[in-house]
Amino acid sequence: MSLTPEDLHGAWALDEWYVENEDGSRSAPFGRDARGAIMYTTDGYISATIGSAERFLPADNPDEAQKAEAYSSYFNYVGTWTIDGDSVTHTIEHALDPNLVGAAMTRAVEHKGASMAFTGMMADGKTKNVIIWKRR
Amino acid sequence: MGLSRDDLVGAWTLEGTYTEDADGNRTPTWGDDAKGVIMYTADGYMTAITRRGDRSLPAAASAADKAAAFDNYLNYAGRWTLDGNVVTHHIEHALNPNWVGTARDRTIDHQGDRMVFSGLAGDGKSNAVIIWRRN
Repeated sequence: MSLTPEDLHGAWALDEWYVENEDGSRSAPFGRDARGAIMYTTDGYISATIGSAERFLPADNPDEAQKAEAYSSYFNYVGTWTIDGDSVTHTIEHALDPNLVGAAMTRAVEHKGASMAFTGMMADGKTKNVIIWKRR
Repeated sequence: MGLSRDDLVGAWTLEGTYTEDADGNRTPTWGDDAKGVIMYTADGYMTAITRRGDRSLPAAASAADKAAAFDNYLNYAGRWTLDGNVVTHHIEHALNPNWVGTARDRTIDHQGDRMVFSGLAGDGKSNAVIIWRRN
C-alpha cells in the first residue's frame, strides 16, 4: 500500500528520535526526551522542528557560546513535500543550518495511522536514522 | 468582520517585514532580502520561520558562526487560535527557548492572497509589520 497525502496532512508530535549502529546499539542525538513537531499542509508545505528538552538561554545579553549551544540543540527546516510510493521527499527552502537549503531529504515512511516512523541511512551509509511521530 | 479559519489554513511566503516607529520610520527586520514561511494546519497547529536571505555557515563552524546563525533566524511552532481578526500563536517549540510557553497576538489585515500582521515589536513601542503572500 502506498502512502497517500491524507496520511501525512496535519500536525504530528515527536515521539522518539534515535540512530542505530551496525551492532544494534542506539543513541539519541537530542536526548531521549527530545521534543518536536512536523506539519504537512494540504497545499504542499512541510515544517520539521526538533529540540532537546533541556535548552536554556539567558533572557538578557546571552554570549556567543550560549547562542551557539541554542543553535546546536535545535533542528528546523521548512520546504515542499512530495510522495513516491512509501517515501516522502522534503525539498528544503529554509533551514536553521543554512547548508541544508536546496537539499532534498527522502524518508521511507512506515505509517500506522496514529503514528509513523521515518527511516533512512545516515551519510556514513552504516548508521540508521529513525524518527517516530505521533498524530496530534 | 472576523476572519474564518480557512482564511489562514495553508502556507504563506514572506513578502516583507519591518518595524515602524512612532514617526513612521521603517527598519527592515532582516535586511533587504528577508525570507520566510508561515504555515497553518487545519488541525490547529502553526509554524513561522523568518530569516535573513544571506545566511551561511562554514563546515568547521566556530561558536561565533553558530551564534550568528542563531541571530539571523527565527522559528517557532505551536497551536493557533483565532478571535475576530486577531490570531494568537501559543508557542510550544522555539529556537529561542525563552519563547516556549508564551503567546503572540497578531492583528491581521486580510486581503485574500495577502495578509498583513501587525503587533507590538520587542521594544514595546514600535509596530512590527509582517506581510505574507499565499503560496
